[in-house]
Amino acid sequence: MEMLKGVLQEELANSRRRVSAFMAALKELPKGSLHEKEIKGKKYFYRAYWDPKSKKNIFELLGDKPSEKLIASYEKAKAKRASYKNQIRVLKLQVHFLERVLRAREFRIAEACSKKAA
Amino acid sequence: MQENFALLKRVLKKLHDAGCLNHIVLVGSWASYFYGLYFKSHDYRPLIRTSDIDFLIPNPRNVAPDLDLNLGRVFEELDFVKHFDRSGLIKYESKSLTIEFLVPEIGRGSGGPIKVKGLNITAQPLRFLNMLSEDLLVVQYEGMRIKVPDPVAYAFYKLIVSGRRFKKDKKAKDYDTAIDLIRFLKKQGMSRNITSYFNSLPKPWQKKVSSILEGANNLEILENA
Repeated sequence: MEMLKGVLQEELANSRRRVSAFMAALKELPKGSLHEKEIKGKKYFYRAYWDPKSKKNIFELLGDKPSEKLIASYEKAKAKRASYKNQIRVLKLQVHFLERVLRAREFRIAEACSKKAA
Repeated sequence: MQENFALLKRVLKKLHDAGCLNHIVLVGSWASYFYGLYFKSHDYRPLIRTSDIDFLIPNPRNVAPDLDLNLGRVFEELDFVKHFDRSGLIKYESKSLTIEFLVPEIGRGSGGPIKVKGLNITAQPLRFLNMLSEDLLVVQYEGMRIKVPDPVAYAFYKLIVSGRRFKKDKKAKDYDTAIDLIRFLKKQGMSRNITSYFNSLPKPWQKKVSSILEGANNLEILENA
């Protein structure tokens, strides 16, 4: 029982470490997305992002048309963001499950028994 | 498990394409998976419970002077992200696997992770890893040449390490891995290699191995070797 608990505890620590690694990676990605809008025949470019303080979507007007490189980096970041968020969601479920398992009555009983035996 | 192995294959392929598979050795539990492939035997089914992929860099000061790789970027393409340890060590994390680089600790030890310039990574120095880098086995797998430690050396390394573990589960896992591997190697007719390797170990290490086996009433495993 002690060994099983050790394995689960190790897995829980791994999952928590992975959640924090993905959260940190998510923060490092460029914020928001690039948008193009045509008003009265003229093209305007915006960077849209969510501002958590004001709880609003902010549309920041860009001076020139963004370079292909910048557009590509935002596209790549968009795909990465979706993937990281998905991985965080799965890992959080795993953390939640492992925490519940480790609180199980069986482990407490086994611990009490081993203490008594000692 | 299948998902993890598929990811490991993708990691190895990336490293092979980047040209750095020659400079690193796959160690840890995943290496034992390749022993079964090398001996083309279904008798050996290692218990792979680990989610760590450990790579050993035998000679970190002189690794790939002609290469200037950024392995961080290579792993990023496979959706691995960096995790900075408190000690300064960088590990690469995916949803289910962790990639870590190790180097043999020599002398008094460096006291922390060391930077490997040719590969742009940091590696964790650990004791006894030189045992694994001295004799290597090359396994041909899907067009790749994967270096793994000699299985005899790996078994003795696991035995010695099991004696230094504090956590009971890890201790038992290392010990079981070593004993299973020694039994398998004996079946493969490698008893002489086991004896000669044991005799080639420094005397204090021999004592350590004997006391670990004696403690588990398993000393006879060396007797018939």
